[in-house]
Amino acid sequence: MTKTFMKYRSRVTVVSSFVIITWVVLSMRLFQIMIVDGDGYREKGMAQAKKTEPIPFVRGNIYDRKNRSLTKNIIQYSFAYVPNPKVNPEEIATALSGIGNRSDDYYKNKILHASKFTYLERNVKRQDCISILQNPPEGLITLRNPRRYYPHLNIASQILGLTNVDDIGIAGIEMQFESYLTGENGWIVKQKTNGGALNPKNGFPSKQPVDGKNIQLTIDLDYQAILQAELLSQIDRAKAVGATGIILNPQTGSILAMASLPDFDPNRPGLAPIENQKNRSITDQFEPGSTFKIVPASAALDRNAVSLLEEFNCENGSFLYAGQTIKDWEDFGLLTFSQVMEQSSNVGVIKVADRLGPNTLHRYARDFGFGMSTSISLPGEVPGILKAPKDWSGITLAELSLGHEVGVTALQLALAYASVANGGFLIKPRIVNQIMQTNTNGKQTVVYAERPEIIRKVMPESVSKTMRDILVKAVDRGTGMNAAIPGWSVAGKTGTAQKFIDGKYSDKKFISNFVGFFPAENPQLLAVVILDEPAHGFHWGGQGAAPVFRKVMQRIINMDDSFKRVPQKYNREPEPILAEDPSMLKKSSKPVSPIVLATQNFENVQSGSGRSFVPNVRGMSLKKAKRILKKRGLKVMAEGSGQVIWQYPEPGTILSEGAICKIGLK
Amino acid sequence: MTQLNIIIKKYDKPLMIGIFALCVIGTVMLYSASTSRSLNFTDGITNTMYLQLHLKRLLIGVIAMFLFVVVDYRHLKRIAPAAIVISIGLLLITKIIYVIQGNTFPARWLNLGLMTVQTSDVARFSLILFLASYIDRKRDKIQDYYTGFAPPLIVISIIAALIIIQPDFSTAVLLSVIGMAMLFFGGARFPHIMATTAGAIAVLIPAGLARGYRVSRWETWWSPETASSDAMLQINQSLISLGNGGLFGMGLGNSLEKNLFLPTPHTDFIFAIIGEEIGFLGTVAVLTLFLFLFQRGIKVAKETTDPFGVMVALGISFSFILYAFTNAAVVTNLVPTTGLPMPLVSFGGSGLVVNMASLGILLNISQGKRSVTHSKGWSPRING
Repeated sequence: MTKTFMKYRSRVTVVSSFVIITWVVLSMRLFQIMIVDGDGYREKGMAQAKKTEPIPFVRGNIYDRKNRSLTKNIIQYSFAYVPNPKVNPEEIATALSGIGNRSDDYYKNKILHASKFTYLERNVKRQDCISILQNPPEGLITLRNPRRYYPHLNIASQILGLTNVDDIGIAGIEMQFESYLTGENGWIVKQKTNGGALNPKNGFPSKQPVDGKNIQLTIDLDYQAILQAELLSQIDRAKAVGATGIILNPQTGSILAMASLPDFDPNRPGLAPIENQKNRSITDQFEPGSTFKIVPASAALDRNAVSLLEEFNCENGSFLYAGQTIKDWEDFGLLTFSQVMEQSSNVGVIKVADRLGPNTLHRYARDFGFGMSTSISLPGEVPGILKAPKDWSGITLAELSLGHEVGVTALQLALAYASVANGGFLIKPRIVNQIMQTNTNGKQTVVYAERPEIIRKVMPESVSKTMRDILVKAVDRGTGMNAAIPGWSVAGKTGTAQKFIDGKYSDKKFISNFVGFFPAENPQLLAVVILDEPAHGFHWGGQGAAPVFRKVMQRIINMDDSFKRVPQKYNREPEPILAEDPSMLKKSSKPVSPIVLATQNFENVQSGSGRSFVPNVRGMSLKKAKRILKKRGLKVMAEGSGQVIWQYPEPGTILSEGAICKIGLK
Repeated sequence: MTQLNIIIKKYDKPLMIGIFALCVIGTVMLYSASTSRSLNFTDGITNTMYLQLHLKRLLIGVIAMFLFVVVDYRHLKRIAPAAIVISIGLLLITKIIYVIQGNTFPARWLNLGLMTVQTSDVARFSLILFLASYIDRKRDKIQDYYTGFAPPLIVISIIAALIIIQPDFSTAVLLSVIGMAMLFFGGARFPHIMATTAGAIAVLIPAGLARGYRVSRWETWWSPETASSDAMLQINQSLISLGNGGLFGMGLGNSLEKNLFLPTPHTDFIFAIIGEEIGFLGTVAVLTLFLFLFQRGIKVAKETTDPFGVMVALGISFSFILYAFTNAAVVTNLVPTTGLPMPLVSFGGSGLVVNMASLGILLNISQGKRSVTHSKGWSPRING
């Protein structure tokens, strides 16, 4: 210390001490803020500087039974606006009017009347708004959201249903299984700036979303498309107002196709009336007419009230019962019980039903599942109407046995016939095969499945066998001849019902329906076809609905190689070829695969035998298909152009030389 | 080699290391605190805009420091009266230019072409030199009110008044405090100082409350619960920053508050970001570093034989610690919010250059005592 400084020393010490005290005070204050009260400030800080952003889940998809996807999720864009005086409404309105549907004024109005967050346009496809995305006007909020898309448009639309603007299911499977399809949003904490921008940051917590579960339906996309196409073309031909059809497997209850026309495009539901969204197979009931006659017929056989060869006097088509005249479509005389069913004689059936009495008939109708919900897992099913015997009038027994005074759904009718086809069991319909959840390790587990389920035994095997034989005859030589498929034994029954309008049965408006299944020995496919109000002529079940059954089934047989063909018992001549081919001898008791037949074993045995095997020409060009078929001595009838997509008769069928082989190209 | 050793030995080495450490900490923290603002300002082009500017100014500051290290500080005694006249002139010119141009924002800066100068920084520098030379000249006569105490008081008042009308209330108060402290060091009588302080408070409070924003800052400080959210914003965010930091901080570069929540993270509230990123220990370390520099300054004064040198060293040391601690007090809401920088750490051009120059002078003064003990190698004129 210098002498000079000595003079200042005391005063410097005062200031120095003051500075040190300040240092202590500041340090204590910092300790208070940062350590003692730190948690409170930290909480505030985190709340303002971090934002939890949702990570949207992916909605579960719906697949057909062969895992072809019926739904997709695509990214769409929504545009919104929050009131903000700096924003120029004109600019936003002009930009949005570029999307297409709406005018500037619509958006301007919406902007001017907005008092809070308002959507201006929702779920716009990227290609429609690409200019806005590249060059967004100031103040316009752009949101990305996943959105349901249905790649097959109208196909299976009523089964799938649709989702609303928030992507929540409001119809069909989408609604019924919403809780499975929907997932759980994940979240990620991001760092926020005061300007509002968000940055992901390492070490900040996040949670992965749980995606929705995938549903596999029992529906077959091909079957569904064929059914819809054929129903549509028959509506055109028959000038009907609508048509409904179901294809199911009568052994398991799996619904393979289910269609109601007119239908709608779930991607643009606004374009069709809302009634088109109804799945009429389960939501609409109708009076089936003669297809209901299996109920009195099976009941009579089960109760041994009739014998198969017993003859009924059909009174030349006019019979007075309970004060009303019952008429037949043709004047029948004496018919056996079997013929009564084959020819669908009203008089004969009433006489059978009369022997059963109201209670028995009602009991069997209930056993067949009429008047009760089938508990299919689709929304909107109606139970139908089956009056209890105490509510019956005198004529009800007759009307009911003819399929009137009863309301049934197409699905109930299909299941009733399925019990005939499968040996007497009423089964529960299946629409969902299984619902799969993908776990975090990529493995899939089944979280829901519908197994084939028997509800009750309706009739013994022997009765169902007899009924099948009767129904085969109804197609072979009775009213259902238009449903016959050459080479296959088809069982079926036609129905022609007058519609009940304004308190009486109309003689102009009919419901034409047909239920059939095949092969009769081992039924694998069953279909219901219903035409609503077809033009005169087509109103007969055998004219309007039965041909649709045949066309649909022919296309399915041609298309689906997995469809097993069982050697026929009916009218089958011994095959001379079998003896010549050693491989066939071994396989003769088993179903044969048509592809093997056509391409390998019969390459060298054709010439001169006078018979020819139809080779498989699917997927070939017209020229090649023609050349191959001609080599087999077959004549070719081609429809369309492109590649062969179907051929009839199917590959492997034996035809005599010179027969016509039809092929369709696309 | 011996020459170099002597040169290094000449100056107070711990002081040099302290200055160097503070410059490094300041640069790192400034970079971290300013990235978000830089990105925002340049539309995402760069996060180093403020860092680049700071480094340029730091370079100028180092050059200024070097100049004052090599030039004998005693020459400054001669230019001190001229410096104070120039400072007053600059303050006046700045205000006049702003009035003529009709600018509404504070008249604090003067564009000299090469760089923009905050005129109050120059005034602070000049005031310290002027008061040191005055006290050196008057010695014990300072105790007389009219001939000793009043003249420097008038100079301080003029400068403070000119700064208040800029307006920059807090700088004016700090300059007055520095002035009074130097008069106190210099031997002015207690009654004079107490009376002057009382008078100054009587004048400054009405002047201080003349502007609405100052009133609201006072209210915020006095009763944070009732203050409007706008006035609360800055101080609230500052406290949240500190709270986020906790004991060890969130780590360098991890501040949340610098993302545009805290309005001035790179200037007046950089201390809050220091707290957030390097924690309680970091803030205390920085405060201790300032305290260390202050004590080194006092030590330089202690070992100087020249009264002018003693007064300059004391003035520079005190102004340094006053700014640093006032800034820390603002950030911790111990005093009402004002826009004061933290020396060598906050972003701000002329303040950095002036502070570096002041520290250069301090270093230059520190060589004097060496010459006494090591007179053989190098012989400055002492006791001149």
